[in-house]
Amino acid sequence: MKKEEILSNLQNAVVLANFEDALSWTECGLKEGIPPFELITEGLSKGMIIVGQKYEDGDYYVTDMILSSGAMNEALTILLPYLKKNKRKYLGKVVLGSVADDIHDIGKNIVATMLIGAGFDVYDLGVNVSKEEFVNKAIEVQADIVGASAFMSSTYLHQPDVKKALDEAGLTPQVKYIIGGGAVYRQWAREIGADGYADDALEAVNLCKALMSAREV
Amino acid sequence: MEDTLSCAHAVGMGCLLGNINIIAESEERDRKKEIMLVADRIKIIACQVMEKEILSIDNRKFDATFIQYKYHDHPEQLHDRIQEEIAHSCDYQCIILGFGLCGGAIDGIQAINCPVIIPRIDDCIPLLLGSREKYEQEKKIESGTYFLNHGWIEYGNDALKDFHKWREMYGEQKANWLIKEFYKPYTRVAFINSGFDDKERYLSYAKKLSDFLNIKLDVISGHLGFIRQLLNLECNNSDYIILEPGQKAERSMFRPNDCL
Repeated sequence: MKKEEILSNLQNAVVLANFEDALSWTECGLKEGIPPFELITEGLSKGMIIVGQKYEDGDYYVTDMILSSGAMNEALTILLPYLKKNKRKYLGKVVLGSVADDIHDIGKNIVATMLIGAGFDVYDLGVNVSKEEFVNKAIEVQADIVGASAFMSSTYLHQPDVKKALDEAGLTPQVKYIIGGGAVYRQWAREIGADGYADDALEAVNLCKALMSAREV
Repeated sequence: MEDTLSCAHAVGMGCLLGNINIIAESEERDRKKEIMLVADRIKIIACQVMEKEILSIDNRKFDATFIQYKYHDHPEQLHDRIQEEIAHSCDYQCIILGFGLCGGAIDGIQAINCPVIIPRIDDCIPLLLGSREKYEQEKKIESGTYFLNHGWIEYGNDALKDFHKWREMYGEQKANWLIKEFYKPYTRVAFINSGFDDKERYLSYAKKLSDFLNIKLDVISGHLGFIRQLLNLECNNSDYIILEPGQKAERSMFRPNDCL
């Protein structure tokens, strides 16, 4: 089967949130010798971009996005080990997490998936992440960007703590700090001195790309 | 000499600042008192889920409008609906909102002809539990608590309703997957019992929900104290926000005073 056909089917599997097809077309692509990274960027990720656009246009609900992200993640479980084995140049290293006391992660997980799809090396610390864990991971992996998510109005107040911890560890301004989440808003990001704010996963990817490009200039 | 002068200056400044704080607090108390004296006609605009609780309080005469819970699904729609009700309430002397920040819906809400009082809370659970402190206590007991009261069961969303909806939209397999994704943070259902009739029916539903999610069920007592204080404008100053005519609510007003 032609490469273009496999990649197109993989895109569709994500757009239609067909978990089984996402897995089987991934395996098919690997068998046909398509590089794993290409399956991610030209297949899965392109599917998620279409999904993101459908959501922006109001054609998809948030549940559709989450399902599509789930289908992409199924495929990534097969592909990510290949990426770890073969050294490759990533666009940047991103440490992500939901802040302390926050146990929500759906939005953050979609961001992580799309960042991987876009070519970033992502370290997802999960939920209820302390400021110390953010800092320690950023140091360990030599992160370029740290992203802190907060879904609740009571937990977004921890986002300045992470900024302060990064500052005190001497990581900023080299390491960029971005925030997002259901409770968060643009003005808040400005108030706490974050380097950026993203309203949704697509914006998060574009923000990270922009921050990395600015670094190269 | 210089040290003495700078010390005196510091003490003077401290007294001045202290006086300013006392004056500010005193002005807030006076404003509350003023509103209470003047407000003969009070309008309550509240969420449907606490209709029973609010109507059970009979301390003073007020008119109430209860907004359907469904608007919570889209905070911008909830915002517009609340603002619409405020606009329709121009002949009242005071409006009290029975909402928290509610996903940002209250952000930008504007008082028009009269003051609008808003509880300084993120969502309505503290109102049902009786205080913000009680809410923090319950969250400390179990951070993954899914609170439920009879109003939510009647009018709101929950995992059972979501499952039925998603099963229709996507089929059983995907619906199950979505339930796991959305509800995985929760480790207990806490049914808030406000002592109304038909408790057994609602408790039975709460049990069905907890069984469905395979998490435990606790029953906790609701308390009308916070709602009663709000309706009588008896809350501590830190518990609510007063919007004067023309003033808009901002998210920053809902933050604790010592934040930033």
